[in-house]
Amino acid sequence: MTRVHRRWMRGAGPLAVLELLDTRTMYGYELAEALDRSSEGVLAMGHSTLYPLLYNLEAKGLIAVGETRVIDGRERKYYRVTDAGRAHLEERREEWNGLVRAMARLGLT
Amino acid sequence: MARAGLGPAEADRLRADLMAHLRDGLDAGRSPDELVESLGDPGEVAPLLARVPRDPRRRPLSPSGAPGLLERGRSLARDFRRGLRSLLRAPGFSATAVLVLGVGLAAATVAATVANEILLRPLPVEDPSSLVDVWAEVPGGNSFTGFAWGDVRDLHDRELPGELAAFLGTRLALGEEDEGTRPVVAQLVSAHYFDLLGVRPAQGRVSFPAAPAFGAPPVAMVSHDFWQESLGGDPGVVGRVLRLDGQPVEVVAVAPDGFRGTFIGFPVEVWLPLTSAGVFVPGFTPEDRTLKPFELLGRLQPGADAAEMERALDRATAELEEAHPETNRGLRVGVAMTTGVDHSLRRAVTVFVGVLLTLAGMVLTVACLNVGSLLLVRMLGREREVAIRLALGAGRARLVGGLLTETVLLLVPATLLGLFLADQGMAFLRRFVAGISGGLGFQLTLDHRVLALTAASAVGAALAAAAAPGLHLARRDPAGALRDRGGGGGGSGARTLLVSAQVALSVVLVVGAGLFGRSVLRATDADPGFDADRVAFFSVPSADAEGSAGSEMASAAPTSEGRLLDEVAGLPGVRGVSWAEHRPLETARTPRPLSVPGMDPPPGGDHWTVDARRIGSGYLEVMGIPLLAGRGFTPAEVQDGSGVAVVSRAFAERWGEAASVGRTLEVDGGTVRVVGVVGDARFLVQDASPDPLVYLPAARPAPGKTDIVLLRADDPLGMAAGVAGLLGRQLPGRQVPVLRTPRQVLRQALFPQRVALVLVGGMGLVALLLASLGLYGVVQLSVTRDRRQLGVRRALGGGPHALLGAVLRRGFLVAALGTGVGLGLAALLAPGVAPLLVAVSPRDPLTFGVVAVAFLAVALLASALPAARALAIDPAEVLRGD
Repeated sequence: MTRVHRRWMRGAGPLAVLELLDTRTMYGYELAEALDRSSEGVLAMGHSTLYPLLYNLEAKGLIAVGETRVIDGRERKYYRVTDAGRAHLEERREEWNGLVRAMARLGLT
Repeated sequence: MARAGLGPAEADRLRADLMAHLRDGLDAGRSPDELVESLGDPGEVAPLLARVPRDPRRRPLSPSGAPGLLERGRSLARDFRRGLRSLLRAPGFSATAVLVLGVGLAAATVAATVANEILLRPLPVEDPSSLVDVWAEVPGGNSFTGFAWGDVRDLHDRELPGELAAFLGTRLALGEEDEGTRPVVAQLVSAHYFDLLGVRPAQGRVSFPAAPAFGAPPVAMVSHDFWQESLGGDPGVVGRVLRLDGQPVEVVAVAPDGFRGTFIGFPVEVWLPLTSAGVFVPGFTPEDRTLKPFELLGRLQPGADAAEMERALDRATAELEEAHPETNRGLRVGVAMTTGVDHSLRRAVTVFVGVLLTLAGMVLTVACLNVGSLLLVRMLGREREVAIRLALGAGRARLVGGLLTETVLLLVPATLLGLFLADQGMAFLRRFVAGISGGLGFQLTLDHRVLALTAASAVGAALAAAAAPGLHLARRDPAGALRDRGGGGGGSGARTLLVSAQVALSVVLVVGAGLFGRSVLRATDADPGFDADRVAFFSVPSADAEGSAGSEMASAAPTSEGRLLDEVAGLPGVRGVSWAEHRPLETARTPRPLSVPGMDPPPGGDHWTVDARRIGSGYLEVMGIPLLAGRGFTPAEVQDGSGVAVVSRAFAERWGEAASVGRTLEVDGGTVRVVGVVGDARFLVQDASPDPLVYLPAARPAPGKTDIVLLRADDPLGMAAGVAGLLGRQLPGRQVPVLRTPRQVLRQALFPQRVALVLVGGMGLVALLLASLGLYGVVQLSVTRDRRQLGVRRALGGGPHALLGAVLRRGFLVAALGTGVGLGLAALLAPGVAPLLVAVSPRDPLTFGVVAVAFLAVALLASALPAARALAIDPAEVLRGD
């Protein structure tokens, strides 16, 4: 498993989180597991990193706590992407694809 | 990164989210280590988690504020589920712990069963607490001297604070002569014996004829075991006729299951009326007061005690002495509560049982220490989990509770295993005891008392085993545990102590086994001073069937023994024949008063005492005891039976010139002239160094005693068939005496030591194995913990010898500490087993020395594998890891 350097994660992390939350709402633990599983560990991040990242996205209005469910006496906050978040994700997707294409042309695949 | 600059509110939120994440992770069954890793940098997360206040939702409260019963139940069930999962995840640990605890509990159960059977379980009779044993104390007599029928009758007629019943133990030949016979243990008992005991037959009726109806046709009550095993559980057993010593005996009753007489370990198979003594006790006549075969059992009146009975009997026996001074000189009685153990053996038996219980306790303790250190290691490996649980708000009490739950979960299979092993062990012991004792029989069954003790031991073991890890748990700082990446760093001091304690206790056990082993070896190998390999003997009741015993004619007329001796001497291969009053090796002394003219008696007494042996013509030659000075007895002196003596070398050395050839001595009230000095011959099983002994001539032994006929041959046991044939013809229908050798006597007499050797040796081996495993574990753990340091030393050019030395030294130090303490403890405790030791000092330096060397060698062996692993550490890899 290749872990990504912190600097890459700084850009890729929020994008990956938005991308995953765009498919369905998730609570913290679920999101962490999904990041780990879908990226085969490449994008796995410590939870002490993930949660502050979520708070940050929430503060920017890109995600919001959509619903709170109580399971086994414990609260679970389900995050969802806001409209602003979706628009932000669209822009970043374009940038990302452009970046990937440019790198590919340089021979980096 | 993102965490930098978090405000207090966000920090709180993060903390809560991380908590939720940990709980979700634990619920999902993820490993604690994995979870801690998933949090991110432990150095930053740990302080955050350690500051979390306990989550009140984790412990819902009942309205009163205390946890509700339901919640407690749920929490217990959760603990059990979690404990079970955790044990199943570590099958190696669980199996080892179950095995170790099982072995410890088995040792405790076996010891408890033996103690229970011998000392605790009441006899299966009515109100055993008011029964007393009554025995005769006669000067020069031994524990087998009893009462004459006349004495029994006279005592019975006296006013006593209770009632007496007489009985007599014997062995009879069961079966028809031409179909082969087997010996049965029989007891001849008073008519009211069973009423006195309150034993009612399970089948039939006991109506034994009362004395003086001697000669009434014999009837019998058989034991339940005898009925089942020898009579095939025949439903028509009542009315069946058995043949005992050639006599027809009708079975009139079957004893209740469990009743085997009043002596534990000596099960009676057949009870016959005392009135059949005329038939089954050779030479018995009711009037003969010289024959004293009867024992007495008493039932105290309500409110009376043993001392009162003893005082009353003392008065009665003083009168008996006055009335019959020739047969009752010095007769006194002893009375004690009936315990099922003969009064003469009680001390030795109590010591034996005490030793056994102590040793079993030690094995159990070693097992607990071992499991304790296993749990501790496991706990060290689970520090992260513990830290998480602490961070999540679990109380320490709850965590210790979880640990106890796991231990209890281990205990259930361990107890079952322990009971199974104990059952197997007791089956082995039953066979072993029956095999080497000839006649001893123990039930060794589990009952509620033993089960309760096993259960209590198991719970105690659980608490003891969980103590060290529990303490460690209660003290551990959770933030530290979260930060620690290596794991398993703490607790090594506790573990070293646990292992040293195991070694110490194992040393005590092995020293015990060594002492018993040396006893058996020394008692067997010591030079007896006579030709133990060329001699065999058998005992013949001195009163023959023709009834000549006790008569004045006996010493002068040619007796049946005289004829018997001639016939034995005529057997091919027999090189010599003689007789004696005692077997070549005895277990009890027969001290006689001795005065040496010209020498003052010992301080505080008016005479010395010395063991004396009455011997027949040619005894010294048959036994191969060398003549050192003077001569042996002439046939005329033997025939005469008095006036001369031969003394042993130890005797001559003890009393010097005054005991030399030609001098006179007063032995047992008679004056004798010393005619010879012979080599020392050992005459006591338990005394390998020969004591002074004086031989007196005897035309034939005193009436009522047992003759020992000795023969000398190159292959003494090869004479067995010839002797048996001859005796069979001489004693038709009777139990034929068995030809035995002194070596066999020795083996049988060393029975307690051999049982002790097997029991203590077995326990010692188990303890040694456990301790060496523990030692291996502690060294291995230190190698794992110091891997980095060892690697760096290798990298810096530390040679393999230095490294090896460092690792071995660690194991050696732990073992040396344990061995030192163990030897000290053993030296302190060993005098307690002195009554069971033969010819070995309780602080035998050789035994202590060998055990010390052996343990240190085991320590080196146990450290060898971890040391080899330490040598295999690749310094480059370790440094890369850094």
